[in-house]
Amino acid sequence: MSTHPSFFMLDRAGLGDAAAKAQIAEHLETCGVCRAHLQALAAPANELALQRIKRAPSPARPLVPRWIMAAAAAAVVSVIGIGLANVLSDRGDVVTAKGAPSVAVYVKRGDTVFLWNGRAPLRANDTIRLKIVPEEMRFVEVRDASGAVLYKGELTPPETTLPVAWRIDEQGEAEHLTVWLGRAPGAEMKKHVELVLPKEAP
Amino acid sequence: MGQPQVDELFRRYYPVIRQKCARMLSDPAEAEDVAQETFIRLWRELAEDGAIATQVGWIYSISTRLAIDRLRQRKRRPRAELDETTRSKDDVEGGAAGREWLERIAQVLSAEELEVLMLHRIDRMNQEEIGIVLGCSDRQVRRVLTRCDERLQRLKERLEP
Repeated sequence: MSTHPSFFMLDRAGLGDAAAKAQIAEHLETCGVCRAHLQALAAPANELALQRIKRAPSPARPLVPRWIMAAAAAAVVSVIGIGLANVLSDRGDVVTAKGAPSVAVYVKRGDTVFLWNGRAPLRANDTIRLKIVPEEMRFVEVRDASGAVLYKGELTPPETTLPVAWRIDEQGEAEHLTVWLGRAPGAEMKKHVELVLPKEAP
Repeated sequence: MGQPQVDELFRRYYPVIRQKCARMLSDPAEAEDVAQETFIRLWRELAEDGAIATQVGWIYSISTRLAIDRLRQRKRRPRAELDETTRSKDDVEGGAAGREWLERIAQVLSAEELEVLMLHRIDRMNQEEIGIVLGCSDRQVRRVLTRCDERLQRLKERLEP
């Protein structure tokens, strides 16, 4: 194992952390490599990169709402990513009548959570989670391609994020989920939407 | 956040972020992309919350996960190329050899294992430091590292004639 301090310690020292500075002071006296690392941190930053960053979207609003991040953190399964299906009118292809229930798909890929656009292929190990705006409906079932029930539970208006998430595997070309809605537990369930989630080729 | 603050934030943190990304990714352009993405997230967090208590740990955690995403997005390599997955720790600390090794094992280990392994072998962090950055115990870190060693060893044995 290296006798150098970790880069973590060096970087903390370089940013002015007094405790880190004290820990590595003796080592720095005899190590030109670590001194060079600290000197590189003090060099002028790449202004071109700064210009590119400034052209990026404003940071004032996070890409993903806080509630989604909180839900993701709380979920036992590492969660989320989305796509809208059969809803959210301003996102392109899929539009429903005002007042109709809607289903959105959230996708978590690595550290990023985003709303699925209804077309983009998902990757192995992405996790998906559904958010449902139930309107008059109060009960949901999510089924796989064979009709097996993956989840069933009650829905609470104005919207319910299901407490389960599903991880995308490498098998097959797409995941098929159907969402069935009913007005009450035990009442007739009607298929509301079929989600076909294409997978990226390995 | 106004522009002067962005400039100040950039000059303070970007060199750390850029070097961290360069250690992880062999392609300079890709490393720069991940560095910029990490900084933008840092910028967002500061803009929203006003402060980040453990800036360096946060940078390490986020940039490592973004780098893992990049590594895992690459096409799978033929199995024959995985024959050097169990280099010694000293062989893989930083440098081109370390990055090449990382690209190979990225197709073999889980994201969690990769994260811990990268922090340990590329950034030279000890178990306690990794625990702080990832918000877990030293024991958990040790367990993951042991599992990585076992998996890589098994893989090597399988590939050896």
